[in-house]
Order: sequence, then C-alpha cells, then structure tokens
Amino acid sequence: MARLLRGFCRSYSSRVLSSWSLAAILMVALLVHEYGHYVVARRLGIKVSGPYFIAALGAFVKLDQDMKLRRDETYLALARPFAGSIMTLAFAMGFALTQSPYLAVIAFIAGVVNILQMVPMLPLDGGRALWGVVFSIHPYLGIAVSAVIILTPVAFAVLGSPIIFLIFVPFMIPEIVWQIKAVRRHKPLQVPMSKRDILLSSLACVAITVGLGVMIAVRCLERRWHQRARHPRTLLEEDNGLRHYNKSHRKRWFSTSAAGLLHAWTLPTRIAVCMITRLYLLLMADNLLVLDKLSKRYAGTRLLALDSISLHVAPGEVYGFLGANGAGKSTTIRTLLNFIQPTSGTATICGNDIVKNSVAVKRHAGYLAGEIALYDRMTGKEFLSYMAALQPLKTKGYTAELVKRFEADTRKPLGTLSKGNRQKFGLIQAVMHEPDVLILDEPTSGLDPLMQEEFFKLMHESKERGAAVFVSSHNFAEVQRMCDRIGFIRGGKLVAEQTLAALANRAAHTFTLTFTDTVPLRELRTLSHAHVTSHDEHRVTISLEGELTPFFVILAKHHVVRLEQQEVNLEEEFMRLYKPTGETNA
Amino acid sequence: MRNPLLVIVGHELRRRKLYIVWWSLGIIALIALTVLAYGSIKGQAEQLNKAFGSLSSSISGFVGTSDMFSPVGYLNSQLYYITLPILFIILTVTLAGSLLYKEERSGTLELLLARPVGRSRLLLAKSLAGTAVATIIGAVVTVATLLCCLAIHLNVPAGHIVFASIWMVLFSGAFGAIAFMLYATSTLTQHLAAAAAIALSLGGYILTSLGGMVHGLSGVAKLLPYHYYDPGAILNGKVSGGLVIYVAAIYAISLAVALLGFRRRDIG
Repeated sequence: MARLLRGFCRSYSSRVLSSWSLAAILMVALLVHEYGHYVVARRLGIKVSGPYFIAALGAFVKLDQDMKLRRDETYLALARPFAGSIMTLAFAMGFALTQSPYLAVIAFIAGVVNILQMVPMLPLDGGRALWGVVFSIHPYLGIAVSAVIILTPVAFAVLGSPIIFLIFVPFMIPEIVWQIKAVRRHKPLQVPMSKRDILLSSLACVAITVGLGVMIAVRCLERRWHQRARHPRTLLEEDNGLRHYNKSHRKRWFSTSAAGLLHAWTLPTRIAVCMITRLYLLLMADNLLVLDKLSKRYAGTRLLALDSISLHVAPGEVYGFLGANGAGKSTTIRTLLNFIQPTSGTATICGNDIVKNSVAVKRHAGYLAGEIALYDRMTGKEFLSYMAALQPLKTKGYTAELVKRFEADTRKPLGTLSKGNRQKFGLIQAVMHEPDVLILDEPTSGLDPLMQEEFFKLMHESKERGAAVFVSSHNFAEVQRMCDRIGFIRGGKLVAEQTLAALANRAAHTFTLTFTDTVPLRELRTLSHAHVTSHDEHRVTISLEGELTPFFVILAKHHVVRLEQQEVNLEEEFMRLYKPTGETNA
Repeated sequence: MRNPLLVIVGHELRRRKLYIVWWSLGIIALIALTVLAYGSIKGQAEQLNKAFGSLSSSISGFVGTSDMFSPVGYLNSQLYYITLPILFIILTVTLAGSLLYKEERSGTLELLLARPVGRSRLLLAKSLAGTAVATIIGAVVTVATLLCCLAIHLNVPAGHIVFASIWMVLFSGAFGAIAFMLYATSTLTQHLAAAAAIALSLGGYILTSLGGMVHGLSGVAKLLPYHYYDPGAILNGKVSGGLVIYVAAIYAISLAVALLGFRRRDIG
C-alpha cells in the first residue's frame, strides 16, 4: 500500500495536483476574462442582468425574438464569450484530466488565432462576424456549432486521435476567412481600445503562445521520458527495491522533474499575464469617460482655468456638469475634444487618450457646442450629408429618423433658421452616428418644450444603448430631468459630486411644522444633521439629512397640528453647495 | 466612409463656386482690357520704347523691364510683373484666411475637429482646397491671356505665356502659403496675418525696385522672394530651376511649420 502510494506520488501526484489547482486558477482567470466581454456587451448597449452566463444563454432567446437588433454586435458580444468560456473551460478540465499534449496543441492554435485577432487592431471583429452569421441563420444552429467546436477538442484530447482534429478544422477555416474579411473591410474598432491596450493584449497573447509552445515541448519530452522510465528494466529495478541511482537515471529523474517544474511555471505565467492584462483592460474600460487631474492654464494667465479635475462617467450614465458662467464647464469640454491642450493631467474617452489618440476619441464621441456654429449657406440636408461623410453612421436611416423626430426643415439654408431650429441640427449631427460618449454643452438651449421632450427621450435611448452622456448646463430642470450624477464646478475646481438621488434625498427632508404649544427647539437641535432654518413660537422650518425616525420620535411627544414637506429644490441645494464655505455656514 | 481629405476638399470647392466665378470674371475683364489695349499702341512700340528707354533706369525697375512696349515687355510690365501677382497675392492670402481663420472664428472648425479627422489631415485638406482654387483661377488667367493674345496677334509663344502664368501663380501662392502658415500656427487676427504676408510681398517689390537706386537695399532685397521674380525672362523662354526650388522651399517650409504648429495650438 505504502509502495503504491509512494509510486503514485512519484508518478502523478505533483502533476495531478498542480493541474487541478491550475485548472481552478484558470477558472478564476476565465471569469475575469469573461467579465471583460460582459463589459463589452454592456458598452454595445446590451442590457445584461444577473449572472453573466445565464444572461448569455438568455440572450440567444431574446435575440431570436427581436431579429432587428444589431446582429453583428449583439449576437457576437454575447455568443462568442459564451462559447469561448466553455471552450476554455473544456481546455482546462481536459488538460487536468488527460494531461494530453494534443490539448496543448489546440490551445497553442487558439493562441495564434488570438494574436491574429490582435495584430490587425480589430479585436473581436472577425470572430464576432462568424458567430453573427451562424447565429443569424438560426440560434440553434449557433448552439450546435458551438457544441461541435467545444466538444471536438475535448474528444481529441481524451481519445488522442488526430483524426478528430480534422473535424475541428472546418470550423476554424471560416473563422480565419472572416478574420481576413473583417480586416479587409477595415471595420472600425467596435470595442474601444487604446493602442497601449492593444499592444499590451498582443504582448500577453505572444507571451501566452510562447508559454504554451514551451509547455507543449516540455509535455512531449515528459511523455518520452516517462515511457523510458517505464522500461521493464527500470520497473524490475524498482520492484526489487533496488536503488540504482546511476548517472543516467539521476539525469533522467532530474530532467523529468525540471520539465514538471517548467510546466508548472508556464501555465501560471500564462494565467497571470492573462489576468493582469484583462484586469487592466477592465479598469481602463469600465468608464467611458475618465478625467484624471485635468488642468488647463491659458497662455499669458496665472490662474488655472481647470484645476485638477477628476471624474468619470460610466456606460449608461448621464453626468450633469453644473457651474456658473466662466466656472470652467466649456473649457473642460473643449479640452476633452482636444480643441485646447491640457496643461497637465490626462483624460480618456473609451480608453483613448484625448491628446494622443484624438482621432480615435472623435470616432466614439458626439459633440454639441454651447454656441452652435453651422455653415449658414448650406441647407440642412447638405450639412447633415457633409457631417455624415466625415463620420461613418452605424444605422442607415437613423439620420432621417432624427430629422423626422425633431421636425427639422432640411431644405432651408441654415442661416435663415431660428436659434431653436439651428439647435436641432446641432443635436442631430451630434447623435446621428450613435456615439458611445455624448458631450453636450447646453443642449436644450432654444428648443421649445415639445422638442425638449423629444431630446429627453433621445437621451434616455442613448442611455439605454449604453452610451455615457456628459452634459454641461445651468438649467436645473434639465439636469434634474435626465442626469444620474452631478458635478459642480467653481473656479475651475470640481467642488462637489453627487448622484441625483443623494442630492434629492438631501434636499427632500425640509419640513415646516406647526405646534399647538411652543416649538421644542432644544430637542430638535439635538438631532444630528438637522438644521433649523427659521422658527417662531409655534412654527419651525427644519432641514434634515439621513434617518428620519429620531425626528418623528420627538414629534410624537408634542402636539403637531400641521406638517408640510417642501418640494425637492435642486437649485437651492446647488446654491448651498456652490456657495463658498463661509457663505454656506452663514 | 469616403476619404475625409477628399470630402473636405470637395466641400470647400463647392462652397467657393461663386468666389471662383467672380474672381475669374474680374481677372478675365482685366486681362482683356489690358491686352486688347495693346492693339492701339502696337504700331508705335518702337518709338515708345525709345522714349521709355531715355528715362532713368530706376523707373524701369518699378515695371521690371526696360522694354515696356514690345509684346513680351508689354505683357510683362502690364500683367505679369506687378498687376497679376498683386491680385493673386490678395486672392491667396484672403483665401487662406477664409479657409482657416474665418472658419475658426465662426466656430465651424470645431464641427470638423469634432469628427474623426486629424488636425494634420484637416490642414492638408484645407491647403489642397486652396491650391485647387488658385489653380482653377490660374488656368483661367492662362486661357484668357492666350485668347486675348491670339485676338490681337501678339507675337509671344503660347508655351511662354503658359510658363509665365504658372510661375506667377506659384510665386503669388507662396505668400498665400506664408499667410496660411501664420493662421495655422498663431492666433493672430486675420488682418495681422494678411498684413504680414502682403507686407512681405509688397515690401519685396518695393525693395527690389529701389535696389537699383539705393545701393544698400539691393542686399536686403536679395533675401526676399520678389527679387527672384522675373516673368520677363520666362516670357522670353528662360526658366531657372533654382528659382522653382526657392519657391518650392517656401511652400514646403510653410506647410511643415503650419502642420507642426496647428497640431499643438489651442483652437478658438
């Protein structure tokens, strides 16, 4: 028994244990990797809730019901990571179970394909194109193809038959063909990645593939050595309990151990590189708009127009940027669009640096200026055609739809139109290419209430699509209507940042109370975060933040004849936050 | 997506249809009036040349030739030496202003820069559009001069007229390129940049003309492009490659500086 155990340990224990533990680590890496795809899916405007894998499965059904969705993006954002995750899982499990070098060969091919995907700077496009075609024929066909692709390498690995590999090949060829087609079409990068991200990912892929190559070599050698070690003479020596540690045996033993160590080293390296890069990409990619200590000092001035502004806007979020005239709102926007150069700090839009990759930034951004400037002699139609010629449109006919929705007259020269009508064209040109990030400066300026309503609907749709919206405004009603989060800028500094819900919550608890007897001022003032704004003998106005129970406990002890709650007044809250500290306390 | 460069060039040319038409009509009228008027003095060219030759050499410096009334001398002094270059300098300098400065002031430049078009590419498109406009009007000048010369049987080879016109457009365009560079690299007002470019050209003309009279000025004049502008020689069939290189260098340097400056500076 002891000998059996010793033999088992000597032969398999290190490899089995390391393989299973590595498989577990790989699973974690896989989850991180798939979360990356989930982020991509969200960015493409696909609403995914609940556990990701369930959502991915559910997506097939959902998409089947609504075939009008943007197939190439929607299917592929979910279908490929789903299939990919199962396949990678199969690799990990299969490798752990079989220790088959064939599986490593497949992983190596997958690594090469990964590099091919990365090098043309069109990550995911090719693969997603193939899956889009397959799934658009019928979702079940897609699932069937996935199953074949997933199961073939597993069968190949388990049975160790190269013939099975041939089943896998026909599915690989169209994938490669589609890769080439996607590159030829020069489809714009759908998943925003900066050059640095792509370089890092490509390096990771190269590292992975080299690691796998080493692993294959090591495993092949390991098998050969293992077979030599199982030579009858060696077995006989072991059975006799003899320990002939002659020179050649020691060398072989050492080589096998070294190979095991090397093997144990390459896989964690692969996983670590994969995890680090994916985590990095996730950190970079989660927010579509990121400002990091962005500062701007105009030439010939000492004061900073922007002073270390740091903020971020997530996909599907509308960020209101509030401030008085000259506070730095427009400077921020103009810096983001690289019209003016930042003095220090950085900002990224969809992972692209606003200065270094400004063209890529514009590919993902839609901009509406505060003071809209148009070509006055051009008609609306000519203007929109010109703008569309300079920026590819994602959906054919979307511009016409927007023109209809905003009732824009495209036949008249723009110079003859009123401010509101010109604003409509400004809005249409900003959103017609369905950008991932919308940067709007006073967007409803000049629009009549009906058109404002249409604009809010449009913003809601953009939000649903997963776009990040950055709105500069001093119209509180507008901000209150559409923003999720608000930042207040004063003198070039971001003085406060809050979610609208929190802000509304703070402003909501202002009560005016009428007592039959004297106002219990002393007790009311004991409440934490309470502020008595005015009072007389029987009447008091009090602002409260947070928990209300202690307040009502006090009220219960007294005769309250009237209780009025003031309406949410964002403007008041804004003024409170916006005033310099000294004034606030006064 | 179509090539943004071509889209912008096409747009600029369409915008300037009327501009091209009016400039062409004006220049055709000027050329017609000037060249056709030669018919009335054609018979007295020799006497007039003698009379002009008796004047001080410094006077001939202002018209660029001592032979003012021969067919070549007339075309040179009345059109190619000062009139057409000045008109073309005004044309190219104002065109440069309209392509860049006006668009920046009006805010429409931001509309373009908000699209995925790099600053360099935008600047290149604008310069190409300007070149195209100047080329079209230059072609009109050439054709109009040729036709008018044909109408009065002026004995100047057509090839020489074509070369003189091309050289005139290239030479005048160099000042447009300088103005374009100033607009692209600095936030000078339109008038300042235009004034700088025109002062450079007119200053060059005055210094070159006065160079014959004031000894010290001839050295300074040699530094300026006008000193090397001699359409009379071209009309007589002499083309200097060195001068072409000089003007080409002005274009290349202006464009390079414009590209470098425009990429870095704040807009608006």
